[in-house]
Amino acid sequence: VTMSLRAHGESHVGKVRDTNEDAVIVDPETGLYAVLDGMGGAMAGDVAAQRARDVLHAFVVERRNAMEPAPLLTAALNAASSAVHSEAQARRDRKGMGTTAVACLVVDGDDGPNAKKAIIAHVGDSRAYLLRDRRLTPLTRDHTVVAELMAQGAISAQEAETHLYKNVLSRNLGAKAETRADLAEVALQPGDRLLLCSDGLHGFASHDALQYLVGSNEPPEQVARDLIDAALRGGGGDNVTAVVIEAGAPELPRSTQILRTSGALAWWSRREVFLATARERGVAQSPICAVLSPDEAIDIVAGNLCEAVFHDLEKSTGVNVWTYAENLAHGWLDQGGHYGHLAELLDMLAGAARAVIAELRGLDAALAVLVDTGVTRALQVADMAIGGVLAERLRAVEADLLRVHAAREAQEAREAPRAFTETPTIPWLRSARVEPAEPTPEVRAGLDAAHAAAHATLADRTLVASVLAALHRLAVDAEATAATDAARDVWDTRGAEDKGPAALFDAIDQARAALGHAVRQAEPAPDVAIATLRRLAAAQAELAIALAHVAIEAASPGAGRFDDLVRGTAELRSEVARNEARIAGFERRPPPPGDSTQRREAT
Amino acid sequence: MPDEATHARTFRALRPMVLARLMEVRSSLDHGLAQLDETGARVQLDALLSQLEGYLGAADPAPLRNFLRSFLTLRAAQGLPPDSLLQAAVAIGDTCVQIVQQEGGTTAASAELACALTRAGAVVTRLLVEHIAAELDRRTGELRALDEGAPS
Repeated sequence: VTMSLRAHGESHVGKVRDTNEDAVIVDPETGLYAVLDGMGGAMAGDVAAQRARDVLHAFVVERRNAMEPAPLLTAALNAASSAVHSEAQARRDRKGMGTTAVACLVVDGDDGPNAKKAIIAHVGDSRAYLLRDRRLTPLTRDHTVVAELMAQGAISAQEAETHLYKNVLSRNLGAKAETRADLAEVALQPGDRLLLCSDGLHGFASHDALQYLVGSNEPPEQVARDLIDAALRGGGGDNVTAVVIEAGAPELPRSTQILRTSGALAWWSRREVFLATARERGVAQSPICAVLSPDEAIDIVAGNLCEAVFHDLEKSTGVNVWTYAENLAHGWLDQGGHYGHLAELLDMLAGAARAVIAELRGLDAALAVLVDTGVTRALQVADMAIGGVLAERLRAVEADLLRVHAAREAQEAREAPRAFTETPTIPWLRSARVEPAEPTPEVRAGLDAAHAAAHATLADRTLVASVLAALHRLAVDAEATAATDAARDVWDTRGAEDKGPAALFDAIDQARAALGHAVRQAEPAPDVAIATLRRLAAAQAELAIALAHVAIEAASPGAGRFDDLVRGTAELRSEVARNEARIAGFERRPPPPGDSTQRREAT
Repeated sequence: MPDEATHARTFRALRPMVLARLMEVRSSLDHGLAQLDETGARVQLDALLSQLEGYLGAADPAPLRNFLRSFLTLRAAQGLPPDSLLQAAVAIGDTCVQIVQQEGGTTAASAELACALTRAGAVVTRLLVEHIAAELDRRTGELRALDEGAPS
């Protein structure tokens, strides 16, 4: 059977720009698909993208039977770059124009014409993704200054988020006559989908949203439109273009087919049960519904979720529930609402869903299991969407914190060069500090004195005392295994009230504060104070990470084997009890006539 | 209808297959796992599967929650952003369900197990979202304190 391909491309000017500088190629006959994103509004970005598109397309069409696919795409992108570069050089009003490009050429696979493979070449930050087994994986790495710095290990992912050159491309078509494209190759499998897109899509819609939309069972035409809508909902701050290529229709499992038809209908026909239970469970009393009348609250909050779940069951997607939950979260959090109320509301609605499933279970148990799975998944999607909104806000707060800390450090450096600035323990603002292997005698004395002073104030708390000892040990000991040993010691001294990592990290913070205070109280020479505090900060970061490892170690399969033994013993006990009951049954049973044992006993 | 112990037993039998699949795709699950050596990644993923099995057997979310707190702390300490954690956790849950559906076919027992695993996945997701919310509260408080001029 020949693998059939379906593809569709959509482009939109977005909500901010006046012109669309993106260009697109969807040519199923040649097997060529591409997205190009022109640069420099005043410098004819649209001209660059269109010129590169035309040259790329013509080059591939003319030479596709004469060249191997990968060199063909590379040469075509070079030809496009050369054409844009020449035009930019020739006309002053077009100087500096350029474009990104991600191009995909689908050709027969290595196993013959029934298989297909996709060759992908890209320059710049337009991307290609592969959807397989419902996971969306990037096939390209952005050619931006920041991405290249990250690849070299010069900056962290966190620094990249706020880097000044975040959007500056390191490669494009047109800057030079020749360009350097990166290549990727994928042997396509039935059900795979490829997404090519400009940064107007991946910059304004989350990875989760892209994964859900591309992974839905909608045809490529609808998926491309949904993707554009998602980017517009996310702000639409740039031109947005998406090309979706589908390699054969995915074969739906039987359970999914049943859920899409009978399951979705069974859910929808019990809408009243859902709404009535939502009312009973107090949905209308949630602070989130405070501005609505009780009827409106049920109708809007519960009714819309019920409908979104129905559509998602019907289409095996999560996009409707995702949108519902994302809007709910934005609306509530924007007005200063707390996450706890969102979770409570979702739990009430989950309770209403369980009532529907319970009713269905009495009528058709097999269908009820499928609906239960589908609805549980839908509510999980709602949680994920809310998590996405919270994570977005967390990133914004992190960026603000970084700015504030950087400003403070800069100010302190101006006021007192080589001053020490405290940084929080975990997890995202950690900065690696390189310390000498051994502390100097003065610093060692400072560490000893600080440990003694802090211990004297906090010794009544065993866990904190143990953390103090661990921090002291790490600050003075440069051995590679010191952190793990120290973390194990701390782990072993936890009391019954100290379970869970939160207590551990609270203890680290308390110990750190006490040590910092002790160092400052001792008023050593500024250089010694700074070096002492730095060693303690490094020790604290090391201990935090080592403790997290120990926590995982404690819950690893090694520890799980104990649970297995406990379970196994319980099973054996049940087996013994069953056998004893059977023996007792045999003993109670009357003997058959002529049984010699009976005769002997009678005798 | 299969009981919890049966679910746990069936899942235990499938665990090697789930683990093998997760090892194959680990670089797309979570970059922290991709950076670990094979043994390290296997130990961490198997620890998670072991907890899921425990949840299936006991239907008690408390041990799973306790384990996930540690797991999360480790991943966060490795610098994995919280929404990536969410994606990774959901992807691991999805992989478990896919293997169950693939191996169990259309039997009632397979459907029940897929449902139980989906529930476990939902518990994991909720915990992660709670963690992100708590972290947001903490950081917002910290920012507010800095804005007001309090010491960090």
